[in-house]
Amino acid sequence: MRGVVERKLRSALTIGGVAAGILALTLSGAMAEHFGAQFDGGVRYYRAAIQVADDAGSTAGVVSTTRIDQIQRVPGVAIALPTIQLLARPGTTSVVPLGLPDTIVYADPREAKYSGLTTHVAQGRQLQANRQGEVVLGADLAQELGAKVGDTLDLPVKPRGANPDFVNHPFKVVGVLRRTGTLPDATASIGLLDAQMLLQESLPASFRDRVDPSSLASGITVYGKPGVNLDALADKISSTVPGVAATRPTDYVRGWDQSGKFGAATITVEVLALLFGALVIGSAMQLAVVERAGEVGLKMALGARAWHVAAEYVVEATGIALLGGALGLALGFGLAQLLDLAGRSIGMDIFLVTGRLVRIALALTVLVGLAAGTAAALRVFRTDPDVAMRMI
Amino acid sequence: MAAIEVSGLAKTYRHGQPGAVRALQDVTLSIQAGEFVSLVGRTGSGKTTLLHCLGLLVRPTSGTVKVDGVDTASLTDGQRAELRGRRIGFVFQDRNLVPGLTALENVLLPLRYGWPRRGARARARELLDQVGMADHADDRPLQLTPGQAQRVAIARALMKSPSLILADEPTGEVDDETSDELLYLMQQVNRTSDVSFVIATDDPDVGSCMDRMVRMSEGRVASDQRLRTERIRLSGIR
Repeated sequence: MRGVVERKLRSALTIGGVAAGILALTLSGAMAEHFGAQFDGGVRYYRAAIQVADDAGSTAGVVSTTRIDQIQRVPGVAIALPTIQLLARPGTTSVVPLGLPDTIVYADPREAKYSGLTTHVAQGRQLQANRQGEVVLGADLAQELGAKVGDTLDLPVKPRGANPDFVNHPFKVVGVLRRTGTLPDATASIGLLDAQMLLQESLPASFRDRVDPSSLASGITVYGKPGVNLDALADKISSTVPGVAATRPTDYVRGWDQSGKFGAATITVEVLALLFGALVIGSAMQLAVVERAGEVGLKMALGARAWHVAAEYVVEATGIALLGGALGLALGFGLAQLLDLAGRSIGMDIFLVTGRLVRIALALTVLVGLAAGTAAALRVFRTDPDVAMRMI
Repeated sequence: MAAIEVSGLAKTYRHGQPGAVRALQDVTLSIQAGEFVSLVGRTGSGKTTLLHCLGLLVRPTSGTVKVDGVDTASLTDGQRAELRGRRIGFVFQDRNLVPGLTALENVLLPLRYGWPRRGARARARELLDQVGMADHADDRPLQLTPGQAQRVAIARALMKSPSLILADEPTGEVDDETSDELLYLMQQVNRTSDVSFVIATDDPDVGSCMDRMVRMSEGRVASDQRLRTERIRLSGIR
C-alpha cells in the first residue's frame, strides 16, 4: 500500500473512480432496497386479502359498509372489515411519482390477526377504541411532519394554495410506529369515526350530503378461512354479492409488484457502475505494471518469483478498490441521507441503505479489485525478466 | 570451486524467427570464488545478456550455466529464482531502489520473498553502516544522491550473503569521484569477504582496476586478462 501513498495523484484518481462507481451503486442500490421493501410489504399485505370496492364504479371511491354482512355470509370468508384510505397530504403526491403516498388510514384492530403486516409502536401507544381525535403515525410520516407523541397536527395536511373550503381537523399524536420499511411507515392511523368523517368531507359536495358517514368506507378487506383459494373466493363474492367488485389478490398484487422491473433497472445501473469501477482500477493497474516493469524486474532479480510480484499487485489493487469502495459507500450513505432529508418535506424519502447493501457493495468492490489485480498479475506473469531488467 | 561457470553459452533473441539477434555466441567462462572481474565492452557487445545469463534471469539458447557447481539448465523457474535469491546479488546502473521504500527497507527487500527474517533489521543496519549509509537508513531514494543510492544497492546485494554479485554499469550514472568511491567500496567488500564480483562496464579504465578483465565483442569473449592491480585508491584510477 506504500505505492498507493507514493503515487498520490494516480492513486487519488483511481480511488476516486472506484468511489464514483460504488457511489452510484450505493445510491441505486439504496433506492432498490427502499422500493423493494415497500413492494415486498405491499405484496405481502395484498396477497393475504381480497380488496372489495363498489361495483358501480362510484366516482367517489366509496363503498357502503352495509355490504359487509352480505360478504361475511359468503362461504369461505373468515372476516370482512371496512378500510378507509385518504391522502394525508393532498397536493404533494402528484409532485412525487416515487414511493408510497402519505395516507390517512383506518384499519380495523381485528385485522392484525389476519394481516401479513404487523406493526409495533416505537413511542406512545396504539389507538384505543371509541377515542376520537387521536392518531398513530408511521415512522416516515412522523419524521416528515416533525411530529412526536403529544404533538397536535391537522389532518389532512393543508396544501399550499388550497381551496378556501379545504377542511382539516386537529389530531393528537398518541403513538409513533416502529419503522417497517413498507406501507405503515407512510400512514397516519386514526379511529373509524374520524376516518369516516374525513372520508365524507373528501367527497364531492353534491354527493357528500347524501351519504350517511357511519356507513362509509373506501373499501372492504376480506380474509378467507384457512385453505381457501382467495382468487376463487373473490370471484364468488363478485358474483354473489350485488353492487361490489372483489379483486383477485393475484391481480391486485400484479399491480403492486413492480419490484421486478425496478430491480432490473437497478441491476443495470449497478452493473454499469461496477464496469466503470473495474475499468478505472483495471486500467490503472495495467498501467502500473507497464510503468513499473523495471521494478518488477528488480524484484525478480532479488529472488522474487512471478507470483510474489503478482500477489503484490493483487493486494495493491484490492486495497485501492477497498479504499475507493469505502469512500464511495460513505459518500453514498451520506448523500442518501442528505437527499432523504431534503426530500422528506415533499414525501420523497427514497433511499434505504441496508446492511445487505453494504455487504454487497463491499463484496463487489473486493471482486473488482481482485479482478483488476489478477489481470495485472497475468501481465506480470508474461513479463520477461530479461526485458524488465533492461528497463531499470 | 568456481562460483559460476558457463560453457558454450549462446543466446539468440527471437530464435528461429525473422530478425533473430545473436547476443551471445559460444561464451565459456569460469569465475572463481572471491574473484573481482570486469566485463568490458561497447554497448551491444553482449555484456548485459551475459550478466543476465549468469544471474539466471534469462535462459540461454544453448550451453550451460553452473552456479556453485549446480547445473541450472534443468531447474524450474521457481528453483532458479530461489537459487538466484540465495546465491546472487545484483547492482544496477540506475533506479536500483524501490521508490516507496526507505533505504533500510530496500536493503530488507530480498527477505520479503521467502527467506528467514530473524535478525534481519540488525544485519541490514550493519550493512548500511558498512557502506557508509547508516545515517540515511530512513531516507527515501529520492532523498539520496546517485552515489548514495548505489551504496544502498550494494548493501542490499550483500543482504543474503551471496557468493556472487553481478553489477551492471554500477558507476554509469555517477561522477568520477563517486565512481571511484563505489569501486573502492566494492573492492573492499570483495577483499574482506569471499564474494565474487562481476562488473559490466563500457569504461576500460574501470575494468583496468579489477583483478581480471574480460573483454566482450559481438557476443563473444574477445580477451580474458588477469591484471595486477593494487587497491583502488580514491580518485586514483583516472
